[in-house]
Amino acid sequence: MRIAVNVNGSKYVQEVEPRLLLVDFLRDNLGLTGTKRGCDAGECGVCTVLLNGKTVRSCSVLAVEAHEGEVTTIEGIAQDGKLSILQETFWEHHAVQNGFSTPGTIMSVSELLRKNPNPSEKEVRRWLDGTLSRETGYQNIVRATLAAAERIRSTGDAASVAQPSQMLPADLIGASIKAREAPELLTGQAKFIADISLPNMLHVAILRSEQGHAFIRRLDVSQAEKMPGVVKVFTAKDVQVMPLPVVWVPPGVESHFLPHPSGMVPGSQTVMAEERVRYVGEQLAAVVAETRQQAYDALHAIVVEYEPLDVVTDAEEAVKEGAPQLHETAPNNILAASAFGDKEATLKALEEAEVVVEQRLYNQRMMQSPLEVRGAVASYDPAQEEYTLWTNTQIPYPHRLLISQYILGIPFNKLRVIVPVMGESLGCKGNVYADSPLMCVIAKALRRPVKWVDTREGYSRDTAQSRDQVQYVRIAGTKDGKVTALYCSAYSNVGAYPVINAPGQPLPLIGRSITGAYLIDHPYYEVKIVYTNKVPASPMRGSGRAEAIFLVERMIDLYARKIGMDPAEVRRKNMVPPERFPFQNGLGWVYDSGNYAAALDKALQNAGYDSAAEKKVEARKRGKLFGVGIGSYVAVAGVGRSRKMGDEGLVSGTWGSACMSVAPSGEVTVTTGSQPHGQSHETTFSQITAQELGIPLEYISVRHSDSKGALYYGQASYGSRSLSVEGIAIQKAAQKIITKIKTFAAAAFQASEEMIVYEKGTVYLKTAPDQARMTLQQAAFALWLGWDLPEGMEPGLETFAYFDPPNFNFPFGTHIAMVEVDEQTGVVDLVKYVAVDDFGTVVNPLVVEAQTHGNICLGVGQALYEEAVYDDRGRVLTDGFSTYAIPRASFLPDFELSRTVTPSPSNPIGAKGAGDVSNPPVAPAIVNAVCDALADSGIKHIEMPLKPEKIWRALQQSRV
Amino acid sequence: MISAQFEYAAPTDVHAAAALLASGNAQALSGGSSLIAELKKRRTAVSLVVDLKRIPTLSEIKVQTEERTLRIGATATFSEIFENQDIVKYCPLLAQTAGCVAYPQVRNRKSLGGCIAANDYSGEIWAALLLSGALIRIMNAEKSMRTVAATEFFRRDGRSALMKGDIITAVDIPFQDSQASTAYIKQSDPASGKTICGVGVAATVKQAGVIDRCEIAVVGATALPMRLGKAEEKLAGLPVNKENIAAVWNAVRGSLQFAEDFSATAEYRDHLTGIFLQRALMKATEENNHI
Repeated sequence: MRIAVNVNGSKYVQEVEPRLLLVDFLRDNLGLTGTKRGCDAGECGVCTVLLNGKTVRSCSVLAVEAHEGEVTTIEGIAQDGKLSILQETFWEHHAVQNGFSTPGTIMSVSELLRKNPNPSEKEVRRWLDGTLSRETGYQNIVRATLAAAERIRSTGDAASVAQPSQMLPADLIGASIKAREAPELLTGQAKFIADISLPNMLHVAILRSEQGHAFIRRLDVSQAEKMPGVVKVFTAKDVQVMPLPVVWVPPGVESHFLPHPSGMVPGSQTVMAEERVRYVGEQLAAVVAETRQQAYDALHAIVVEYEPLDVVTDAEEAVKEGAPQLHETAPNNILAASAFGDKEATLKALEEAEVVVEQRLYNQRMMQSPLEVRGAVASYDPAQEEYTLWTNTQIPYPHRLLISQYILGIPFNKLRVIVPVMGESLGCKGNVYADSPLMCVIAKALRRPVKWVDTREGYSRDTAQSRDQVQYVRIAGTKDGKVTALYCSAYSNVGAYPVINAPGQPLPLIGRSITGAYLIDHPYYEVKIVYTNKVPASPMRGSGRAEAIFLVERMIDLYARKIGMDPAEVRRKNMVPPERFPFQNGLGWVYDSGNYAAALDKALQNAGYDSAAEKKVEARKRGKLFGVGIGSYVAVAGVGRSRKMGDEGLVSGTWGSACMSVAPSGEVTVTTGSQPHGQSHETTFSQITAQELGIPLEYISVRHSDSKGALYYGQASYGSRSLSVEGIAIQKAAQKIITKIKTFAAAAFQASEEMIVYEKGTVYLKTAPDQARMTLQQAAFALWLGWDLPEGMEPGLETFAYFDPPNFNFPFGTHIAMVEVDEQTGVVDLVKYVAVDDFGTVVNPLVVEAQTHGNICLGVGQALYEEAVYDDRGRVLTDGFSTYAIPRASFLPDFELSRTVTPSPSNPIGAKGAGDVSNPPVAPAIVNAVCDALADSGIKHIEMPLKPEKIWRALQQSRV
Repeated sequence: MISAQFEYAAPTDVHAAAALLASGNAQALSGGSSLIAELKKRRTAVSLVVDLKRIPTLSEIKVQTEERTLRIGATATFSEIFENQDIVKYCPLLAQTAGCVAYPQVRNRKSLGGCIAANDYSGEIWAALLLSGALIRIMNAEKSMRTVAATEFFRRDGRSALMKGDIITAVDIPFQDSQASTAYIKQSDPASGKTICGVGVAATVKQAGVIDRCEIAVVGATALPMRLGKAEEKLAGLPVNKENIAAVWNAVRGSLQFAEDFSATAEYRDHLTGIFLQRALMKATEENNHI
């Protein structure tokens, strides 16, 4: 039917189907892609727009309902290129990281401020409950909203703050520069994967296995192929490529991967399932149609007949005799079994110990749940025989290598990978998935560009999940609080197939990290990595260290309680003392630097730890049980020294790389080997460049996200490595640029190089600084035009630089949670959260603080709300935000952050990783706090997530 | 994205809507949040969607001074109810509960009539409807009107009083008794925001701390929203204290059917209802919470 809608002041008249949703009308029909699709189910709020002046979730409104109405989207907020007050304050307070949920959030709070020009923090948080934010958390959004309210009240004018770019270069390391990436995210101009559209493009919908374990007896696509708009339905017979590869093969470990025809690496799942499926979510068929709607409509016409097999989803069950066997090559479903540490010595220490505490812990299966799901667009150029793949991956260069070499079997140079602006990942976008090569195959077969973007329900079944480790732990020590041994026997559930780096998390990342911040003479860790009929598991923000730190921090608390000592005191007594660095932790890490007890003491002081007893008494009067919990941590970051990673089994180096070019006009372009997805690389890497070269930030642009850029190959962003590894490569590149300028200047000024000084973007002769000088721009101009260069000097001013750190870096800190438990209902209220982190030298505090908010937010989710729940047929029940609970704004208090600064000796800036390292202490701090609150009832441990009913049941049982 | 195709009509008077709804697989759309979610999941076969939001008379909110009631049109949204000064004045409980339903974007769409018709009975709005003595006005396919008390709307088998072709046109809400104090206590699922257990009370207390009369509504915990009539009877005349409330609760709880789902077990809901009954009554009476 015909509708007329006024959108952002322009009238649109269109013929639409009644079933068309407003969000699809705006995005697909009008091309207004600033409004995002997050869940398509009215749960996440990222599609929020104004309809007749009121916020609505545009995925829950029919386009026909907007007939004769007025719609305002994010594109209609900025006027004449000038940001609104809200957009300004979001920018100033760094309320935008990856920016995917930013447009919906801004639309939502714009209505709040119109209705209530002076909201309280609590009112803002309550309002924001309608809009999820995952990696950014809510704290800066709340601040930005309150600041906007104040500015509107006081001036009613969008006065913008002074640009900090005028700051002296000497201030740039450690300066809270506003994110340079933010404006396009704040205005909805940024193009994410779902916003990419190519001429003549087809759309793909993927049919996935409904069974957790079954033989496929029949797959009939004939009816689907007759549906309107359908071009072709692809099944396994149409997709003859190699299986997905695995690039982490632990040496000297008995491992049972799947075969791979390349003979170079082991294999994983096939791109399309053919005879048998092993988890709910495996790809069976792909419908290609003229429109997305037609592709999804035709999915329902495909007929699949299964012969169900027994399903196993529990890792401990899967290794038992008689369990269903997933792979012929993996007896008892074991992918690998390995150990770190001296087992006999640890057992002996346990035997001889005065005190031993035992506990089984389950670090539950989590879903990364980025608000932006995955997608892929592919095109094929028959003249060049070249594929281009657009996808939201953390690892574009490895993507190019693995898909070209190990899946499609084509030359490296025949695949270009481009990453559009990318929503958050939390680790799940650091894998190679079967859908990306599938899009390449389809694009070539049909000679047309194709696009697939996942749905929220699809995400829960086709994208790797994380954690999922059972740990049997024993801690031993003296009666006066000295820990002597820590023993862990674990089962890691990696799901039906290994992801590209499957052994990395359960082996070194957890196994070598379990000593945490402590000097423990006898640590030991053994693990069985187990296949089950669950969705494959991959790293997740906090990866590996989260499981390790949870383990040691819970055990320290249980031990402290057993010997009747203050858990803070036990920690202080066992922490690695500052004089012991570099410190070998006994499991393979060499901690670089730190003062762990200082961070602990600072956190205790900031939290008012000493007043806990009074708080307990006061809370008791209100019927609440108060508890305080500590989470101290050390997390391996800055991945890493290539040789060390190679020794762990990674089939790749992990160095950083950069290309830096100074244009004849003086502008500097930096290409990084990293891949941003919310970390503000363009800002922090510009700061490093500007600092080194002594030039204004405006002269610098940072490039990434395209494998056809200046770098031929590179690494990526993961494991809190980008700034302290890739950033250092940039610093080195700048230094190489300066060296060349100095050589050039020495020749030009006919002086020796020792007499040449480079300073603040200018090179000059020490003895004649006013006469013999040239700017960076003048030098670049002369070098590029290059008609009178000194003998032997190459023209141009650009360079490549690489950095392979001598060691990882090890950020650390202590977080403290204070909770109140309602003893009648079991509801946990997180009343105070204090964090003291040490990320070494911090380049941009604003960025790092916001990353810490995200880490805490995720940790609160794991402790209290989140778990991927499966039924006994292997089906994920938590397939949307109405069943998988990620924290909303009002669930959280204002986090109180501070830092200590211990520079790392692992790199010249002294930076330590920050992106995901402050997640690991969060969940144990909260669980320790809840267990402290419940201690008088004799409750020792409750498994995460600490849902109210679980706590209530534990309290019931304790009373029996 | 919605896979099923359907027709759409947006009549401007209620009789035309009734005629359209009498045909085939027609469904009314008012707020839309429930119906659109069902359509996306292919759970509902619909040939025609009849949008009621363009019928002006259905969205009116009127004060009927003589009857001492408010007449709230079926398509009035929760935001409109929350912000309407007449409702704030005469039925503050309804305004307050409307203001804490789900999230702002949902309140801007969700309508009172739609919520009732969609059996969306876990919401706190039902506590207000049950406590206020609300009368639901329904027009049938033959255009004749009837009213059903909110307390009678659901039958024991879980079906509602609505028949094929019925349209809820409005809800009549008596002015709130200014002598009664009210309180509402709830616990929600953190993911869906749905109420796991909500208990609302309206109570009048005599000087000596004795309950004169009280009304109790339970939502989310029991299979259907309901008044606890027996408990109301037993509590009348008793001094307000935790022991009395617990004793009454223990006497009536056995006859109730509690819901069990992904969010919580029946046992936990049973427990919460007792706790919240106590808290709501204590809160309403202790603070002499006239609203």
